[in-house]
Amino acid sequence: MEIKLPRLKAQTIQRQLFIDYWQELHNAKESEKKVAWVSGMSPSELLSAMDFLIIYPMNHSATCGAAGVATVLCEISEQNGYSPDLCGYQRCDIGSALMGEQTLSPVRPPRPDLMLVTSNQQCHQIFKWFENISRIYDVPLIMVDVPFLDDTATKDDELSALKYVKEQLQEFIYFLEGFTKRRYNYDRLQECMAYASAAYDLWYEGLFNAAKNIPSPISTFDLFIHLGPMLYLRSRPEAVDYYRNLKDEVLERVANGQGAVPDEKFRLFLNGMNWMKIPSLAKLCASYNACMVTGIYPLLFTLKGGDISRPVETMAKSAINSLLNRGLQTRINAVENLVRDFAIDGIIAPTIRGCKPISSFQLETMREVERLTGVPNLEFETCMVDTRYHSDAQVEVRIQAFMELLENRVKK
Amino acid sequence: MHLIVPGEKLFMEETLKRFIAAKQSLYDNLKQWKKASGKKIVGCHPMDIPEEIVHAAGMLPITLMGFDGAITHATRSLQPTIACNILLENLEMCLNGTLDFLDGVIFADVCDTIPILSDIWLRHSHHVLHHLMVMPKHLNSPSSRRRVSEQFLRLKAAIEKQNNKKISDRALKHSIGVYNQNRRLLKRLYDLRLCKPGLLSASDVSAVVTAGMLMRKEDHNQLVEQLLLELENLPVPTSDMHVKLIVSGSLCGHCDSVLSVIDAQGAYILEDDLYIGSRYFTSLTNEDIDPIEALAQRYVDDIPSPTKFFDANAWANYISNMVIRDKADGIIIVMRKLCEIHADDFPCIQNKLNNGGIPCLMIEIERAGVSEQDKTRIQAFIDMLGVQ
Repeated sequence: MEIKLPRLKAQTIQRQLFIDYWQELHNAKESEKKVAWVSGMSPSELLSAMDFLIIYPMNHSATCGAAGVATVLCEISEQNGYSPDLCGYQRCDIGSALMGEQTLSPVRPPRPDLMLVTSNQQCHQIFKWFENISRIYDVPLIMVDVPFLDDTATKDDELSALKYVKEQLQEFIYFLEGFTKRRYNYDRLQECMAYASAAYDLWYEGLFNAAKNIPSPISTFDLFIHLGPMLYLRSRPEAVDYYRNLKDEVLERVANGQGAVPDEKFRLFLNGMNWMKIPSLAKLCASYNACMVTGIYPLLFTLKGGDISRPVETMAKSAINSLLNRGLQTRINAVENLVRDFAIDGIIAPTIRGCKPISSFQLETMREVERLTGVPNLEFETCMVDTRYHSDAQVEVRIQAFMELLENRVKK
Repeated sequence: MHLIVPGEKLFMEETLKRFIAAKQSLYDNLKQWKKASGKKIVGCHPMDIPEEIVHAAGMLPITLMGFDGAITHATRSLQPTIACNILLENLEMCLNGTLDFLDGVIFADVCDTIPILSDIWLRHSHHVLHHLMVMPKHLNSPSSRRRVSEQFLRLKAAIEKQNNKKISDRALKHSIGVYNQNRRLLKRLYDLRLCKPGLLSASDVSAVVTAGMLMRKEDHNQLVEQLLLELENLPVPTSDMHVKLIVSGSLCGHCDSVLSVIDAQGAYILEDDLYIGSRYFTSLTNEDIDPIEALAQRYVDDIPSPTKFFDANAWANYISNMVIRDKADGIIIVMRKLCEIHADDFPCIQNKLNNGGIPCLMIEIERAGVSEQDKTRIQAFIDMLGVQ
């Protein structure tokens, strides 16, 4: 039986926001605005303050995945020498760029004038991915290297990492002044950061934390879907309005005792990510009265704000302090705390093919969290967007078995 | 297989055997050496580790280069669909106790998996020294170049702390000298092979380089010197009829299975761009300036490497120039499965070679062996070049 999950009204608002934003992107040339392609963890405020319009290739690939064209785009990059073992997002996005005007992408991203990549948690592939795209379009690529802070990292290591990131951000600002032939607009930067910080706080309180309620008013599906404005629009007042609205809507659900799934019985945690399958996974779990209430991914890909009077320092701090940039023990602690705080009954842990930085943590984290909390987990292999590496039937059978396991634990 | 006429090579054979023995015994010889010498041994994960700093502390740096036994423990910590086999093999040796004789282990974050491998290793091992070098992901800015020396100093400080003893500049300069000597000797061996292709088989050259990663550089220097003396007196084998190749890649580990197929096919390798090969020893360190600065400078100015995020074009040009300069007939690129840094640069390299009309074959390897299918592909590639 197909379960219909109640949608948040904000989703309709988001849709319109994105239609307008992509319109702006496609008119960039006419309106003489520059377009920058940036990686998920980049301090895009630096660019927004200089009137750049931002595109996230990662998000673009997710969009292609949702539209069902990602696998073909991945195949195109493979035909051009890219290994099928590489990140699905990367293969999809490069495939789209290689097709040029003929791309199958539903949003057809306009070509970049500039690319900015940040290496959070050692994702080497994203550097190479951006390098390859910048070569295809022949545009400048700026790399901001955020040193990984592993389990042996000391306070000194942290300070030297902070110093190093600050230096690079400053170097990037000088570059931007040369590139745009304009003085850098620090006032605008502070404004952008203030919006971003407010949007983050509203998202964190209104959406992320709201899932602690029993029943949970939202599922991870909502959590993921409503990350969009945080990426694209966080430097604008629209993002703040959006998340305020969303928070009100979610709190209304809480007040009414309305859950995201009918008769919530189990609360699940998603440790990993699979964009193309999020709706079907959420529905599948809901059919067992299980709500996937939260996950690690949104925390990995959001940047907390801070003191806007020292913008470079604040941006550098949020980059190095991101959970994504920390070692195995920090990750284990984070998952353990979330599992306890959100009263989780089980963890769904997809290993994402090609995503080494996230997947390499998986086995040790799951084993240790199970030992510490007694919460069982289910692992299976999938890909971000490439359907050739995901089997619906297999996942369904395994989730069914996992649900039976959870049922039996309740009976005991 | 050795390619010299029997009778003329008896002496050289004996020297070669010592390299091969060192390579085959892998870690057993080292355990004995440690017992006898009372010295500390530090395992270095490939690649890019300034071994000179370890050497200057009076310890023996060796390269961890996997093994060919069964992997049973490591896959409980790292998925075999995520981590390459070199890393799984090394982790297996950590988990099954093979590497218990090590006093320390050093990692440089050359790929996506290593930093996490380092944290996993930390949870399961008891080495006194455990160090991850977090290198800059690009060398485009003054700040990132400065970071290289900072990371080298950080490694030096970690070693000094463990040994409770400072590493003097004098000791470090001495070690740089020993390593430079080793590089010069290996370069001489490679130059000799380039002038007299077929003098040594590809597998033998690989054994010579591998042995140096598993023994004291001083001892290796002596052995290589002796081998050179013997080789330099040998007559030049005829090479006109043989296909001449360049081999590139196999970052972090050996690709002996591929090399022995090439040897068996009678093709000669003129020069290589392999990790266990010229990538390990090509650049020298400046002996006249501050030693840490000199090591950092070597790191920055080294041959193009995908781990340091030079533009992939630089590596592509480097390889393509090697083929053209040496007048090779073609190139075989050996790529380790799941090596994302290599896989990501490969399309650019392939384009460059294709545009230059250079015949190129890419072989993907997983563990020690090469599949029958790939064996046939290598044979067909060599046959094709032979016909041309």
